[in-house]
Amino acid sequence: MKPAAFVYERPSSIAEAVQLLSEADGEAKVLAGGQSLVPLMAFRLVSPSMLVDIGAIAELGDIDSGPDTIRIGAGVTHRRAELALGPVIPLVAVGLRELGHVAIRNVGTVGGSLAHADPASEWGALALALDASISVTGPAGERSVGADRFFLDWMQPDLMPGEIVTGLHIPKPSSMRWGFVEIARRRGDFALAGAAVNLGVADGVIATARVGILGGGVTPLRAHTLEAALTGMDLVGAAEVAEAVDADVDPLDDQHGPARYKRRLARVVCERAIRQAAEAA
Amino acid sequence: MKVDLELTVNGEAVGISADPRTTLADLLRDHLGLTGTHLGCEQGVCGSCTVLVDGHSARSCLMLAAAAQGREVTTIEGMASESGLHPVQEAFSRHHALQCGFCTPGFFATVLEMMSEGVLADEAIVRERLSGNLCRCTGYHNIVTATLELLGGRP
Repeated sequence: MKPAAFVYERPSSIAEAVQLLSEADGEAKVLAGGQSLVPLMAFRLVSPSMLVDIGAIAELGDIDSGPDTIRIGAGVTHRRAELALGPVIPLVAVGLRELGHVAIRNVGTVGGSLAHADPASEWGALALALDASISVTGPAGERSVGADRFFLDWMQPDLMPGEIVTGLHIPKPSSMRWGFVEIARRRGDFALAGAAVNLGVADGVIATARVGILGGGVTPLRAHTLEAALTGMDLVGAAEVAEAVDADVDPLDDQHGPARYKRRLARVVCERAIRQAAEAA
Repeated sequence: MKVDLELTVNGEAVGISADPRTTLADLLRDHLGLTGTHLGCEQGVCGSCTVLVDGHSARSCLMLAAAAQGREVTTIEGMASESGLHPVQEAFSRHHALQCGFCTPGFFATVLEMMSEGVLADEAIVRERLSGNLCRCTGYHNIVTATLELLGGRP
């Protein structure tokens, strides 16, 4: 349970980190909070030749609240985001409370979680439900990727060699009804299924719907079919269309249960999250 | 190639060179002789190795020592003083909140953070906050009781 040897670099700027990653021989990895990477290294599932620790890059640690968007630096810990965003976007705070335990959230970072691209990522589902975009810097400069184009395949984010995630931009919702529900074997474990629901409601009718699913396939994913089914419905009673999520998910068999069980869970978490959104004052 | 580290451990400045792959837990135990931090699973699940880093709980098995550069680390050795037991130790002792003691240092870090945050003495909240620390002896009941008392609730 000890990581294999690697070369360690601790740059103090994004530019320096990008340069180190671009010039590295072999397998270089970015170390953010390390709450996923370090256990993978301890199991020797990954053995990078070099770690570029971005923990000392001050510019990644900012939370900027503009008039229309909130920008969370990639180096912001889950715990800081949970506490800072609670009053502004409660969906984020409630979703993050399901992410591991406080000791994990104190160290793990927004950018690390997004770049790790675990299908059970709370940040992934939240970013999808909130129509967020992810900023990335690499040898070719900066670019911004919508959350619904960022998660390409199993643990595979849209990052080119040498690119690092620098921040998450969340549009400030003017008014929203929201729900977040996840089911795990034990508190703090990886979710078997979860749903983040963001509804724009006018006169009791759902005008816009965005639903992010975790544990529903090889990536965090958007439930387009469910979103379409919800749009135009009365908020009260909307939970009854939750089974539309069947067309959106494609869960995998694993040691926790067969795919059909997790398909059923996806329906359950959506139903509960929609009901939560409807019942919130 | 080793990395040179400067950090504060239990109030004392420490300057040390270590292999980059050294975790904070191994630095504390093997390099500094602070064996009160216990390693159970070494994969971030059991919580036994939990310490305070800049006052916040952290799994020392999931943090590289190199990433603790410049940080302030508090371990179980930093809690008791020569004048006697720390209030957390007293409460755990009074309520029989430990048996073998392996998980106890990790629980202390979690409970100290809760005390410094002023977490409400509510059983559901306490049980949730303690859920990241596993104990195989006690069944948790007495740990919850001790923690509630420390947070100002009725024991």
